[in-house]
Amino acid sequence: MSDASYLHEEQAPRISVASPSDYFALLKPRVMSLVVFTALAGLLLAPAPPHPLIGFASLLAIAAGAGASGALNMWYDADIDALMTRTRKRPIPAGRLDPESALSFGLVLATLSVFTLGYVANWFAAALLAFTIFFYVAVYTMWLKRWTPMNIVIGGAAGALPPMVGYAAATGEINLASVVLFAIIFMWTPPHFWSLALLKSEEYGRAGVPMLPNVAGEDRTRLEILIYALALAPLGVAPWLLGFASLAYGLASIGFGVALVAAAAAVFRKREGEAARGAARRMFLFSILYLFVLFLALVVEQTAHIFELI
Amino acid sequence: MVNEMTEASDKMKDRDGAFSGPGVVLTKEQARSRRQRNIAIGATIGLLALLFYAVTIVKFGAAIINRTI
Repeated sequence: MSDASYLHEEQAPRISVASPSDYFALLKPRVMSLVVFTALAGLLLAPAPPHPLIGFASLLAIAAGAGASGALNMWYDADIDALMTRTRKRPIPAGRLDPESALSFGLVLATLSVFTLGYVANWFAAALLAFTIFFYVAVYTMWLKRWTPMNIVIGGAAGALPPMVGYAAATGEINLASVVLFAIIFMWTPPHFWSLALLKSEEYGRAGVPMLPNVAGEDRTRLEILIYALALAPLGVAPWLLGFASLAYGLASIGFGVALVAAAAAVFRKREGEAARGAARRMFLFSILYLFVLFLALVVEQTAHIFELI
Repeated sequence: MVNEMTEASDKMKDRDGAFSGPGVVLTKEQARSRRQRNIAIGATIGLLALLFYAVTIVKFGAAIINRTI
């Protein structure tokens, strides 16, 4: 947690030697880029997109909110981050940044992001962003993550909210289309992270994080991945079926949905040795591509609509 | 790093043990990182000010030129 006692004394900086890049790393830039991308898709779904500068400033505020969530997550999870190879080079466990600075940075950035979005867009969107930050930090990071193997199922809601925040920033309300985008990311999160958990179950176990493979076993995890993939694939087609995406999107979502289910089925079938690890790795990577393609298609065609290209 | 700071602190004390020197002496690394942080904070605040100014102009729209003379 926020206790720095796991740091060696000589690692704990009395006067900070943290560079701006260490603070930037606290923002979890890769997660932040996904948040911006999905929020952009939500924003572009608005019947009348906002002025480009207002849209840009809104996305900047949403990005800052996502970054603040990442910083507060790294502050709270510094003790378990130090135990996993994937996370131990992060600024706090590596000793480049003290936890208190990360906490202050996260709190200031969270406040700034919410009030900025309230000013540039509207206060409904700002409240939704504040709820997203609260949900990720307090509900997921502080409560669910160390308590239940359902951590990423429920906690996934925080990562799924940005399209709704983007739409709310543009319109001051939410609609069915933005809820569908929320549902897609919500259903995508568990199979994505459980594929990673299959590869890193030893590390999660060492850190005491109750991921599904550690608690319910790898076979149960493989079954859950397949079930979620089977539910996600038709959900991915919903934007076309509901009429807010084109036929091109529909065909892409069907094709990639079938491939996603095939990747999940391979995870379910291959249970031993390197073949099993390879299947889990492919599922993890392909799930990223799947979500990227779906949202890219939405962004491209909505942009084309705005410029009246199609 | 802690030892360097303690030595620097000792040098700053006069006979009564009170601090009389130039204050905390930063190592080169500390000074460089502080300068980098200051530049980053300054640039961020400057860009934020510009952004809020531009957003305000956009939000006012054409009404920005309507004022009583």
